[in-house]
This record gives sequence, structure tokens and C-alpha cells, in this order.
Amino acid sequence: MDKVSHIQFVEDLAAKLGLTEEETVKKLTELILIIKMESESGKMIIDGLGIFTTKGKILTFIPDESFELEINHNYAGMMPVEIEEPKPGTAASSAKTQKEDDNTEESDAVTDDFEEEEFVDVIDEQDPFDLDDDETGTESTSSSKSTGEKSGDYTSDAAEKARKAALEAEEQKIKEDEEEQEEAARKAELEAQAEEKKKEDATAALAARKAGESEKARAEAGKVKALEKEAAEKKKAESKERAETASEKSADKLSGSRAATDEEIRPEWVEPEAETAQKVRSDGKKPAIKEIPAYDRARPDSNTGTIIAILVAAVVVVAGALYLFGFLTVSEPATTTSPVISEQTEVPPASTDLPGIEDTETGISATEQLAQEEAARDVTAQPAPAVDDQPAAPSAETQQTPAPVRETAAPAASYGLRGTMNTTMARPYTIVVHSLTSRTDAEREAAVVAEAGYRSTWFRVELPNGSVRWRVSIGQFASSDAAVEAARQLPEPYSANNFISRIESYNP
Amino acid sequence: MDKKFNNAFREALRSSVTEGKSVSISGLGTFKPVHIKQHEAENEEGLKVLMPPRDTIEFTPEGT
Repeated sequence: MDKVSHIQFVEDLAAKLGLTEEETVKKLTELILIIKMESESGKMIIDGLGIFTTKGKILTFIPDESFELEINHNYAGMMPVEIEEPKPGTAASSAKTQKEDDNTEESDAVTDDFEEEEFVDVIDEQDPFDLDDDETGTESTSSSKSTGEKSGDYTSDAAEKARKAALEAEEQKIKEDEEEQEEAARKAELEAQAEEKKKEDATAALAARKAGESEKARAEAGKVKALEKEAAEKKKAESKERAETASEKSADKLSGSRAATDEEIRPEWVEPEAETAQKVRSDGKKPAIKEIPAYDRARPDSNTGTIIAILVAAVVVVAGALYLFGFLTVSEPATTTSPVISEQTEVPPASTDLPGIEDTETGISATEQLAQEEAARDVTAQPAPAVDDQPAAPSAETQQTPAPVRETAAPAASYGLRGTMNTTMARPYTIVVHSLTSRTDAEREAAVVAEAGYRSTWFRVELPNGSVRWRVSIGQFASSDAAVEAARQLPEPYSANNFISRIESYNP
Repeated sequence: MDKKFNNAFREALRSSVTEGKSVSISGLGTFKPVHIKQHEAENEEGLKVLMPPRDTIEFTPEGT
């Protein structure tokens, strides 16, 4: 701290008065004697400086209010911040309410009641607010007659409006999200219907082809046996076969959507060789056409369920492959060995395209999944085919990917030191780092703080003497503790000295 | 008492202290600006409050 010695002070006085140092020393000594004499007898008042008194033979000095305010310009008008809220119904609560209503000055009254010696530091460090000398003056407001600190045009209505605005914004957002989800669900359903139809067509076509091939083989063996049969029996079998064919046709007509599929199958099924074999093999036995699916009806003897299952699996796999790769021809015979498993593991590309189906591993419905995938695509800019090419596991990853993305894209409603000031928050705690007499300076300092990545704001404060201060603060916090903790993380010069306050109103 | 001198005395003392300087006057004492840090305290209702920091003047009479 700079020190002004007695000699320096005399020189300064002499310069101001245009006197010699000797004359100045003489006058100064006279004044000191008067102060001591007057204070011993009562008190010595020097306007604009303070009051000298003697307590127990010890000279004391109480600074003048204007002098004190000039020195305390950085913190003038700051109010104590309640760390704990008063319990409802208590005397403290009612007293607090009354105080807030009256908006009376309480800072000095409260401050004087506390023991402050342990907190006293000599001001020998850099001004925490880094004020210029010309900022130490006061900016008078003729209309101001307030006795306490008032932050701008803040009223309780403003806080209430801010809360309402926040609630309305939240509701609007929820509504929009619901509409988006419904739209996505409708879209997914339409796509699923189209895909399902394609899949059924491909399945039926493949089943017909496979059934036709197996029938050819069986027909060869049946031919040999058929030659040994009697002509009469052959005629009888033929008559029965005709009857069965007729019943099948009638059944197909009644089977609704399945009828079209059967029509596609029938041309191969009724090949001459196969027809002959079937005539021979049926041999008095009537195939259960109504109980067997289309692809089994092409193979009436149905040796084992395994073959059927293999065929089903092969059909599904090939159909899925056809769909995925866009080929309309079956180039490879199905060699799947485990039909049940293949249906669950190798078909996922098709199943993931079916909306309304709940994923058994993740428990996420296809609708949600689609929405998540869309969100993931938006964020990661990955093309859709990349997702479709992957079977179940990558699909699950895709479903999980959007979660953290959504967290990072959360609205800036949370508290914190950095980011953008959320002006919908009512009375958050903040860290005051500048107290300026000029609004322009406050805006400039707030911009400097914001450029450093902090959420900052400035607000107007009316001091008890009518002057105005513009304070710049950093961060928004839910509690004073959080603000104090955050203040410790601030770099210099902000961490050296600051004050926790509350934002009563935001600048326009 | 010389009013002009008193005014000069006041202004010289105020300007130095306001600038953060400690002023020693022989036969009287030392005027020193001090900073009181923010701290927790209890208000009149017994509630915990965070007191704002404050810059003020500390006077130490000569001979103490």
C-alpha cells in the first residue's frame, strides 16, 4: 500500500494552499491541537471528513457518510444475501417479509451488528473491480429518493412473469415433441406396411420356386412307383386329385390376401411332372390343404418339420437379402442350418424396419427407435443405408447413440458459470465482479466477461445517496453456496474479490 | 479556526485515502483504508446471511 508520510502530506497541503511548508506545519499543528481538545471535551466535527471523539483517553475517528461512501464505492448499496430461507410462520419470516415490502435500508444496520475485525484487510491489493479513477465519482439521479438498494425496475411481478414464461415455453416444447413423435410414428407405419407387402411377395415367390424344385425330384421317384400301379388305381387317384384341386381352388378364393400369393405359386406347382407325381403319391390320401401354408401345399407329403423350417428360414433370409441388396433373382440356395435362430438373428434388417415392433433387447419400440435414428442421423450425418446394413448389434448401438446427444443439446435452463445468461430465471445467485458508474462501461465489461466464455450480465443499482451503479456479474446459481464455490474457480482478477448477489432483474 | 485550511486538510486527506493510500499525520494518527471481506453472519432475525465486502477507513491514533 502506498503511504503518505507527514512530510508528504504537509507538502501536498502547502501546494494546495499556496503556503510555505513552515506556515503549513504551523497551521496543521494548530488544527491537531483543536481536534484533540474538542474531542476530549466531546467531539470535533469536520464536515465532509468525520467526527473525532475520545473514548477512554483514546482518540477515535468516525468517517463522514459521504467520505465512507466514496471509499466504499465498489460495494456501495450491496445487501446481505440470505443463505438460508426463513421457515414459514416464524418471526424471522414475517420480519423478512415486512422488510422486503418496506424496502428499507438494512445493509448498514445489519453490518454494524457484526464482528468484523477478523475479516478486515488492508486495501493493499489491486482493485478487484479494476476501476479507473474517473469512475470513483458518483452519477447522480435527481429522481432518486430511495433509502435502500433497488435493482433497476425489478418487481415481484417481473419474477412471476419470468416463471410463467418459462412454464409456457416448456409446455410448448413438450407439445412440439409430441407432435413430432406422432408424425414419425405415422411415417414409420406407412413404411412398414409397404415393406411388409414386399416381403410377403418375395417370400411367396421363393417358396413357390423351392417347392417346385423339390416336387420335381419327388415326382421322378413317384413315376417309377406309379408305373407299377394298376391303371385302375391310377384312374382313381386322378379322379381324387382333381377333386382336391377343385377344393383347393375354392379354398384359395376364400383366403383373402393369401389368394394372390397362391396364384403366383400355382403355375410352377402344376407342372406336368409334379402333377403326375402328386397324383401317384397322393394315392388315396388327401392333403390337408387348408391347414398347411402356401409353401407347404406345394409339397403335400411333407416329410419332416425340419425341412419345412429350413425352407421357411431360407425363404425369410433370402427375402431379406433380396430386399437389402435390391436383387430380384435367387442366386444362392439357402443353406441356413438353424432356422429358428436365423429368423431372429439374420432378419434384423427387416425387423428393424417394422414399426410397432418392440425391440426385445432394448425395450424401445420401433417408433421410438426410428425417431432416435433420425435424431442420430441429424447429429452424426451418417447415411441411412449404413444403419440398415448392420444387423442387430449395430442397430442397438444406433438406438443408444442419440441419448448423450440429447443430453448435450439440453436447453440452457441449467445453472452454471459458463454459457448464455438465461433471462427466464427468477432471482438466481450471481457473482458480482464489477461496479461501475457508467452503463457503457458496464456493457463493455460484461462483453469482456462474455468473450471469456462466462455467462454475464449487468444491472442497475440505485444507492442510498441517490447515485447509480452498474454492476457486472458472472454466472447463475441456484444457491449461494454454489455461487461461492464457482467464485473460487474464477481466474484473476475476478477471484481476488467479488461478491455473491442475486439478479433481481435483467437488462433489457 | 482557518476554514480554508480545514477544507484543504479535508480534501488532501480524502483524496489520498480514497486512492488507497495510508496517511500519517504527526501528533494525530494514521488514516488507512481497509477492505472487509465478505463473510457469513447472522442478521437480526437469526438467519445466516452473506455480508457484502466493504471498503472503509481505519484510524489509528498516534502513540497506540
